[in-house]
Amino acid sequence: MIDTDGIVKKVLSMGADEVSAIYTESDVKQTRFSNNKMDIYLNYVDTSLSIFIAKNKKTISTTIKNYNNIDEKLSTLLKLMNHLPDNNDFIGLNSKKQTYRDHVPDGMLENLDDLSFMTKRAIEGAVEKGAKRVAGTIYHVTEDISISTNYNSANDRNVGLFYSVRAFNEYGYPGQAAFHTSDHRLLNDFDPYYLGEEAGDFASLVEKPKEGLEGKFDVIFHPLCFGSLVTYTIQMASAYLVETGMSVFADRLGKKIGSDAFTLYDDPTLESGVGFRQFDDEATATKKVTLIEKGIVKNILHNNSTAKKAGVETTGNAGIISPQPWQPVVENGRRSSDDIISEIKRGLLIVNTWYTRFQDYRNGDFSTIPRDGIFYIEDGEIKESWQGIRISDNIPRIFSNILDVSSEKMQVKWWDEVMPSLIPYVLVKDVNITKSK
Amino acid sequence: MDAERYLKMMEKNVKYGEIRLMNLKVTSFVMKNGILSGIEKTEEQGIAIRALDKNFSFVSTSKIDDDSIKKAIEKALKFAKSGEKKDIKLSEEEIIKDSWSVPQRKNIDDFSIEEKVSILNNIENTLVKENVPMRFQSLREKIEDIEYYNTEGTEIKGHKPNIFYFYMIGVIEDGNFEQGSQEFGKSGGYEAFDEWNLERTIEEESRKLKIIAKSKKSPEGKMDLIVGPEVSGIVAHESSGHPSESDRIIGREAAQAGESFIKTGMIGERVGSDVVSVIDDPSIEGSFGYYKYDFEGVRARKRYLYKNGKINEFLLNREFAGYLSIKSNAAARSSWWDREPIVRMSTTYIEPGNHSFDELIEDVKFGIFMNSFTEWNIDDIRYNEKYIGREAYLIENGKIKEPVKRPVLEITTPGFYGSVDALSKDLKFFAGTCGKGDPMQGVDVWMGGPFARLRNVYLR
Repeated sequence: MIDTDGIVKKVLSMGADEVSAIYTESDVKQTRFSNNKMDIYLNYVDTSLSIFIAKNKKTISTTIKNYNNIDEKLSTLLKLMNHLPDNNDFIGLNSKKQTYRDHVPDGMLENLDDLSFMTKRAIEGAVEKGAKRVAGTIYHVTEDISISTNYNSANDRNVGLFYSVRAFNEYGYPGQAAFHTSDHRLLNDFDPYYLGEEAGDFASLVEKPKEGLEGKFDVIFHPLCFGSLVTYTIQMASAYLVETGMSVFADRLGKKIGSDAFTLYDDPTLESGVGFRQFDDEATATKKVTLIEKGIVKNILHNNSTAKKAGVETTGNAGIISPQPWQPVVENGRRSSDDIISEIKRGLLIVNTWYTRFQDYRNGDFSTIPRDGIFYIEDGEIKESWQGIRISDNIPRIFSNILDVSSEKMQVKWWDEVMPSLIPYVLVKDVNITKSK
Repeated sequence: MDAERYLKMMEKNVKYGEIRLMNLKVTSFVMKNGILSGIEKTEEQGIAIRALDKNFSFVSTSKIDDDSIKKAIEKALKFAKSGEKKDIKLSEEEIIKDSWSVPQRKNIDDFSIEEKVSILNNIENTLVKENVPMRFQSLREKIEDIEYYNTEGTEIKGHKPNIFYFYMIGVIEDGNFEQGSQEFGKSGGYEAFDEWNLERTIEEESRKLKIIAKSKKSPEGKMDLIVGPEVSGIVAHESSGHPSESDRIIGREAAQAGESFIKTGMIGERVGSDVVSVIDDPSIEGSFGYYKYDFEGVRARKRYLYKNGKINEFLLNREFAGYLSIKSNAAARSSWWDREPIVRMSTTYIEPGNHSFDELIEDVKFGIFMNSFTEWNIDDIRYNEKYIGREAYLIENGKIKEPVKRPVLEITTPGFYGSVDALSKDLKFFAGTCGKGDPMQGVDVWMGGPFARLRNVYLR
């Protein structure tokens, strides 16, 4: 273990004005599987010391993994700082004394690491539901993290499990299920069999897919799919990006960009999710931040410097350079997803999406490619599975066209496209669907 | 590192093993609207062990003392024997003992911090002069040292410095917003900036964006289309490079980046017109994705992915070459010391043709010239894709006319390559960071090509 208090004192004694030192020890185990078999068992063991230094209005960051000659490395950095221009974006670290919540990692989850067995069970669950081929990944993460600044110190231990399963039917049509948790009580006997079943169910819901159609459709987004749209959007709520002007949140504070049914938080205090964080990179205690309430932009994400410039309090989302979201949560509604689907006259259920790209970050024009289950609904019933479509639309328009949000929520996280988040099903009217011509 | 002793531990216990020691020195700069808001200077070292027995295992550690390395090897041996047995047979490859390095004409370590910052400041000044309100730049230098050893006797040492620059700008004209961005990358040192002429490039980009912001939307319907090298490059990368990756074809990436419309038995099948060939070549000196040997110790070479419109060769590592009973073509890459090697591209491009740019244009009665792109995406079997023009113009009666805003091409992979009837003799490369793998690995690549003419495609 590295003593982060000691590191801060050392750097201050070398002439720095402010210092943040974060030491992390992580042990991550992972399996990857495809074609119904495990491909590889991986284990990443890492320790890292990240240091941010401010001196005479200049700033620099470093990450150290080899702890020999730390004094020399730090001394070199401090000398280098004399040659840097001032960083007028940096106002200072959060100097207020912080109080942190008690956090006890889930011991039951901590001891769970038989990933080979879990892999086998996930595959069996999907095959039981009719899948012909199954692929996916399982992660088990333990992380000890300690932070010290001039003003605060804290440490924490996080344990998490996340996995995703993609199942294919005999026509190669896929279904996907993905989940994250830091609480073993959310697992059915620690058995990913049920997640395999969920993916297998989607793959087997309708056998042979049809080519989709263009047009405007009411779409009920599965939590995984809406989680992807939220992930791309919430990154733009960083005050750093808002300051560039190239964000859908730029000049929209206090303005309506969604319907009354849409409320979005960043909630790192949700302990059951792997996005849980006790403190940010400035040692500010994290909190639940309301970003959009009943469609109105209430806040953006701040560190201490961006907050000072905006005349508000930090939201506990440092990144010292650029604030960042931790764990998106969308407020649930009152009706079940089954009830909502039963009232759709002509629409789509979309399970997942990927490759979301923006032609216009400021106004929110984008497209994304639905996958892992696109189901055509008529008079409340799933009639067909589709392929080959794209959503070509606009983020504020989609948020403004939200008609309903389900009562049930799911903890979803998938690969690089969905942050650990807690999301309900979301019904949106008149979503623009396009395809290749 | 006492590689011999560690390899002996592995030889006795598993069918195959390899050890990779990497040292990465990275310095990055971020400038937002004229303020140098981020500078990070980092040096990382780490060891990656990969073993094959019942399955593959991979263990990485940033602790590189003898005890930690032995512990990592013991874990790799244990994990390789866990799970259900998978019959993996690696392709047989030449045993290599070599070292290689990428030369620098303007050495990264000789360039002062002031000189590096001044590159960003000069561009910033240009953008301010052009009244560009939204400005973001980043610069990264990376020096990668690698030692690679496997139980078959291959020993390779490599040294690769590279430079990466990215800008993103936004303009508002008459209330209309337009954004532009571009990546530049090269193996070598700071001589890269002598070739890029960035101030001029970005000055031109900002002027063009302002004109486009005030332009009319492009017309809709079937028409001819000429795409510039930047668009040729992204198309080559997305709809030829990715679907030719053998791990996608065989299904190993199924749960993440997806699979491929190409199946193992499709070599020789037509995906485009006779004039189209697509190449992936890691051996181009100075290229951003350059390597002499891949991360399994196989010598790099040029690969024709599509040749004269037909599927010709897959990108292979040793696992999938072994699966297909052929030799690897050295496509195994890893982005960092703690990432497993997987099948990747390097420099992917459409092979140039024989025409001049003017010859391509003069034969178009009505169409669009899409010189660069903004939003793009492609489905997870690499079949349905979309490219939206950033800099684009109307073509009428063989002449380039006024700029048009954001033409949209939504087309299939055979639809694109099958519509190409002529290629220019130009060849230009563009840098990018290709994302794939779980955890995500971003690797440095180039992509490029000539101007390409497509007949009678649907644009909106």
